Amino acid sequence: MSDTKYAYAVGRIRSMERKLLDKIGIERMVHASSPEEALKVLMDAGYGDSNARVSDAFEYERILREENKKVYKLIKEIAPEPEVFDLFLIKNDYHNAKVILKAEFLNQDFDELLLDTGSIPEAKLKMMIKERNTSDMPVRMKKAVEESIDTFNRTGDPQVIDLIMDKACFQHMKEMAVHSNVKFAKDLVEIMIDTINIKTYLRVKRMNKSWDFLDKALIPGGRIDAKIFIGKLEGPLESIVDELRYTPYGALLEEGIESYKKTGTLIYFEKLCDDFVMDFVKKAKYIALGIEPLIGYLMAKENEIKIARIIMVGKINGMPDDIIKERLREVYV
Amino acid sequence: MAMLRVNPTRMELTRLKKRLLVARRGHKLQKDKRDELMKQFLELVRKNKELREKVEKMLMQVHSNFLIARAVMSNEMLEEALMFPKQDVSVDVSTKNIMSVNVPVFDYSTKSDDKANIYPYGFATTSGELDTAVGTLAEVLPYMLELAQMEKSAQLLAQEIEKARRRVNALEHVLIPQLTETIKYITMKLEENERGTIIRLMKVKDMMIEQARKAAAQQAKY
Repeated sequence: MSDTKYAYAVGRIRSMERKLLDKIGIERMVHASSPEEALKVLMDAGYGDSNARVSDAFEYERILREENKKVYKLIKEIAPEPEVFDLFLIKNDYHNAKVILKAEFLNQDFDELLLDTGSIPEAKLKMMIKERNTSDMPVRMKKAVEESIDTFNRTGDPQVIDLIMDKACFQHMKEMAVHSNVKFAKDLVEIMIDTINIKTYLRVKRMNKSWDFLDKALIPGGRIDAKIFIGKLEGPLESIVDELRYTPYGALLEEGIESYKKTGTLIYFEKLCDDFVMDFVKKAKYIALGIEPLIGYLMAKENEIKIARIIMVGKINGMPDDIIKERLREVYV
Repeated sequence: MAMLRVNPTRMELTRLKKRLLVARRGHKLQKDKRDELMKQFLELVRKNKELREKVEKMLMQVHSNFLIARAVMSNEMLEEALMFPKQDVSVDVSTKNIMSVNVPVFDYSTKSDDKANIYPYGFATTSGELDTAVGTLAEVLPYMLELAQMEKSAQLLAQEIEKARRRVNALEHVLIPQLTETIKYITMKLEENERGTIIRLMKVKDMMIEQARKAAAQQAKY
């Protein structure tokens, strides 16, 4: 595949990367004296509308969402094969599908929870689900929606909607990644699935659920076989560390589980998982031409938005600086 | 001291004496009731304080967990995760009688018995911190119900104590002194009347003796 067609896109991305918040910028946000100050740092990094100064710190959620939209718009504009990036958008479609399904079962209106960043416009998706006219839907999603409706009608359990949809979402992502023939995307999706599965395993274990529930909650398609998790549901936490010690996740598990046992929370573990994914994405920085830097930038931006949200929520609620810092993820640059 | 406006008659006196007796007995009863209520109330308040502190601590925990969950998840994701609750809780209210005060008793029942069956969301898009928050919230619910029950009971008991104290005070400082005063007044009035009658009789007797003496002296003259 000729990578030269990416020359322009990569060039633009490289220049955009310089605007990403680096460690110093994040430090400035964390140490800002007020939420407004922190928001100002964000605005300086190109967030929001530059002409309209936002004075209300509580608008950060809207600003972050707009930023997210802006990034996707940019990528789609400059990428020679924009379809590949739908891979990162379909999770919003699945989110919308979940909201639409639950709203329908509850007989209430939850339109404000719909995201307008999906690959399918949310109004269209709503119509399709409402009229059960699923012929235009991607096959994977169509199956998931039908299965959700069917299972919910039988059990009345709203959790199954989430479980089925999450599973379908990542399988769909993987299918798209495989289809796109981009190894980097496929690897990325697999790593995401694995880290999610590890987290799911720990959470299900903490909830004292049975193995058949874990089986339903795990997402297939990762590199770690679901059987390993199911087999290790009983017994001490160390056994899963031993089992996976010689996989790339060994160090992550060891450090994460130690902190989990010490503090009883998964906060640090989740941070480690995000950092692990980020570490992988960072490889894209050293690829001169190709789709990787674009994916890298996209992930970096999503990560940055996540960091910004943590800081803003922390600042608004008056969390001490060092506690905010503890929760922050690694940065891309 | 104010007095009842009554006719100072013997019949009224017996009636008042009876009333005084009843008032004294009522006073003693109300006083006992107040003391007992007070005892119950203090105990309840102490327990209530402990429980409230516990519940508040747990709720603070929940809030900080939610805060972290909120920080790592977007608004829409968080609300989607929680929009459809899985567990149904119903509360039955009955009443219990403490010293003739009807206090509420809350009984709650959940639709599903599985304690771990409270998480209505999937795992891929949610944070583990949300589990902790929801879990703690589920744990705190029985305590919160108990607390509500206790605080309402304390409130009702306090009202009842207030009433009992008013009654005791009214009896002690108004009705009983009034009655004693009136009884005293009637007794004194009656005694006064009696003395008046005796004086009158003595006077009449004196006059009669005088007359008798005069009559005797006249007869002696003739």
